[in-house]
Amino acid sequence: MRSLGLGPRLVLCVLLTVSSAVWSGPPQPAQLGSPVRLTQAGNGNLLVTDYDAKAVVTINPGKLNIVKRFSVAGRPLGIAWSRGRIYVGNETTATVEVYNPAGKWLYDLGGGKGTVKQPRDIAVERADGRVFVIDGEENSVKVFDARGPLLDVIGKGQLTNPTGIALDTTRAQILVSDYGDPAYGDARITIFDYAGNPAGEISGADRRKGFSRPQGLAVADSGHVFVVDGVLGEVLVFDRVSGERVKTLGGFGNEPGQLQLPLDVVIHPVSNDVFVTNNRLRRVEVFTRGGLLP
Amino acid sequence: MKPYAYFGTLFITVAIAGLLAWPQETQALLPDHECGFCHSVHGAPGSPLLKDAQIEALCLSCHGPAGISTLKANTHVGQTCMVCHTPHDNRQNWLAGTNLKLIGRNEDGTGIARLNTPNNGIREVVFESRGTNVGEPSLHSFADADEDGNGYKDGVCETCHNATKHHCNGEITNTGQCGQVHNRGKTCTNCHEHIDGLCPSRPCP
Repeated sequence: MRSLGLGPRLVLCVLLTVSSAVWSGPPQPAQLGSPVRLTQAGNGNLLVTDYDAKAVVTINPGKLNIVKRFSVAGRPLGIAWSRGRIYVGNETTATVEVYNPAGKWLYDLGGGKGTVKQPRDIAVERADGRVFVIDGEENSVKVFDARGPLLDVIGKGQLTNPTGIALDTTRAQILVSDYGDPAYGDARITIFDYAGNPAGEISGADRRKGFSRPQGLAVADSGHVFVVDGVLGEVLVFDRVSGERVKTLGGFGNEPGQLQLPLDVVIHPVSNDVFVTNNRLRRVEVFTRGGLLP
Repeated sequence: MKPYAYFGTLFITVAIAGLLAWPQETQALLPDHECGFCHSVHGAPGSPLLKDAQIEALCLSCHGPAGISTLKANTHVGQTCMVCHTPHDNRQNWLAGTNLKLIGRNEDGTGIARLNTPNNGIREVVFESRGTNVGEPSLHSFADADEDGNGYKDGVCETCHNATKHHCNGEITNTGQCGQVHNRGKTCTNCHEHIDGLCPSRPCP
């Protein structure tokens, strides 16, 4: 069998690299109202909060079509899935609500309304079921037992304007994206250990890796941090050790593979596809094998 | 001269020239806004001055879902934020008052608050506090209906609307179209919330 020469192989390599970094083409992603956060359920489907439709939408990650949806009595923000439970942050009622997969309300964390004001994002430690919730009004992370009681409050006095949260279960760390004080351009990702002690930071102020409006984030198995910036329209990938940006997905625009006000990111653990809520374009974007690093 | 010093000097020169040429564009901001919210001289993601050319995303990064402002908003049907708002200042209106909520833009170089409406060209817009009514802690001139007797319907809603059922800028018809009686004197956004794109419900009819 005749092999390609070095030149054609280089061209093919470049084409494959480029094609793997853009929207996967058909199927067409479902139109949503205002997609905010997303998470992956145990069956692999994506769960997306729709702020305008006041609903949680289930999307098939392969076909990008809507499988089902259930209504929320208010505007949903954060969402997480664990052990057959769906945790939804309800901005209107200032509550984290727990639903079963059929969309039946089961109970509220912390005992009821007003427990978490501006529940912007949620992450669950699946090993023990603890639920970590961003409280956007108190600028902290509230930690709940899966059955409801409040266990701990983390980051008070250290977080300025937190938006997104992710867990690095391998290192037992909590990563929180924070606008900082927008007047001073000190956006950052603050890292805590599970006890709430500071464990590091990725600054957005650096010219080469800068960001200003960090929102949802995800941690790859390799430890690399994926964070979306709502204004840049990009998914930025950072090396945990050096703090350097090692990869960028997307870019601001209307075209497939481009983003306008992206708000959250999920990395598929098997396929390494990266899914992003593309808020202003009202859809979920997929970057095929975008989770792979150069 | 080192490159960073050169570009720094160049930036300062351009900024000063801009201040001299367009002083009305650089007036003080709302107390809750500061220059650095949107502009950054050093290390700005995006363009050298604005953190992003797409102003709508910039506005909604704070005022949209999961943003850090408690004043939530969505864009009106088919419009962008900048159709009604200027990000720099509350403009003086043509009645010598000062508009609220950054309403009105310097459309014609006079510095007076006007809107470049989709259907009516450039028009006056007045958005002032009109005191209080029972149950209305801050009554604003959303729909003016010429209550101030200046000969114009220049409330922030009527300025653009010329074909709506209520509070439009057209003539009142025999069928009651364009009538001004619908919740007259009320705060429009009590029902037509900005978070819903100023529609009574999403999507707009």
